[in-house]
Amino acid sequence: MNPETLLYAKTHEWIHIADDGGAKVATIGISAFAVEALTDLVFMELPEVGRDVKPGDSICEIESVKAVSDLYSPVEGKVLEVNKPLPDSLETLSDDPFGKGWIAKIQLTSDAGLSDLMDHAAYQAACKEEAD
Amino acid sequence: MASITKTPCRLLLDPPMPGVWNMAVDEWLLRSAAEDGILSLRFYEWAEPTLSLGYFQRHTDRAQHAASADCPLVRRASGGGALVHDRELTYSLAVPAAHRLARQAEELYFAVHESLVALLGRLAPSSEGQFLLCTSTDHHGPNEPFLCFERRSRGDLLCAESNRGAETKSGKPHKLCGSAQRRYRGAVLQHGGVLLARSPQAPELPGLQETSGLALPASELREAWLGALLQDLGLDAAGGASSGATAKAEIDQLSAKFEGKSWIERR
Repeated sequence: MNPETLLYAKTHEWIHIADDGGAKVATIGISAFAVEALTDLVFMELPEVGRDVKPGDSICEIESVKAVSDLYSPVEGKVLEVNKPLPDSLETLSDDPFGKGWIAKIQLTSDAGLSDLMDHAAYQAACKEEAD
Repeated sequence: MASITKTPCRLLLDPPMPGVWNMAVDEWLLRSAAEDGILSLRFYEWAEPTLSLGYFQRHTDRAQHAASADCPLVRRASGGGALVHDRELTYSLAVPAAHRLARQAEELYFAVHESLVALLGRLAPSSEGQFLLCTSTDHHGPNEPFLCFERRSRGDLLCAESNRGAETKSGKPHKLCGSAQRRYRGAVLQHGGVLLARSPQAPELPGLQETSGLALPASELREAWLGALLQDLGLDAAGGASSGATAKAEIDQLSAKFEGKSWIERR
């Protein structure tokens, strides 16, 4: 996916929303900026398929050499699908964070959280501020 | 001359306590960093030798380490390998998201360990071990050593080339301090142990005493490091020291999580 067309959460998740037979489905991953900040990734647990989530809920955890970090749901809905091969090929998160490094697909049940998301330009500005 | 603004810091100096309590206090500090913006520094010890697993380690893996088989078991919220907490000084630092040290994992890691390297260099006899920070990370994949102190990652505090024969079988310097982090809503908890001396529950790991000849009780190291660490990190503990026990009700609630089977045996 093209990072410039995605939406972003303050907690560094990216979101792509598509129409799937009348239902809105959000594909979620973590940004290249976040992957770099985490340093060497060593382990992750995927979200639970079928789980109902709300904006701000922790949906899975990632371990790097230094830290355990949560991935938060930016939206409200139900986890439809997860990227099952990802925990066994964590380098994909570094190599292709906006494509093959996607983490989960969530079917939206409301618009909650969407208004808090940033476009690419706003997210880039937030990253710059964080890095300075 | 312009004065440098220091960050207010809550300081906790805790007596030796059980592992579950120690983990619950650290979680409380992380939450208060995330929710109330409070930066905290804590030093503590352990009431008895205790094995702590990294967050993602399998509890059944403790069978790999016979020497600590009789130790009580806790699971940390942070990552990394298992630690045998016995003859050590443990610290924790909880940093709110807005503070610069919360932004990059390595920056906080290095800041704390550099402070300790400088201190030990001043305290240790010059003819003994040389303290340094590890410059690279070993990647073992699924064959990662069980114990944190048998792993190596950038920024770990090592002691090298002692004339006391402290080299490991692999010829590598010994690790004396390793830390691990947990992030929560932008805030970060970093805690770590300084191995003061070899523990009967982890006899393969020499400590500060064996590698450098520096025999320091935990209280003396704490006293020496506290002022230096506050200075090095730009922190101001003007409110004085308190104890985790002052928030007993909240910590008791968190203790229930850390002592539950669903937490300890989550993997």
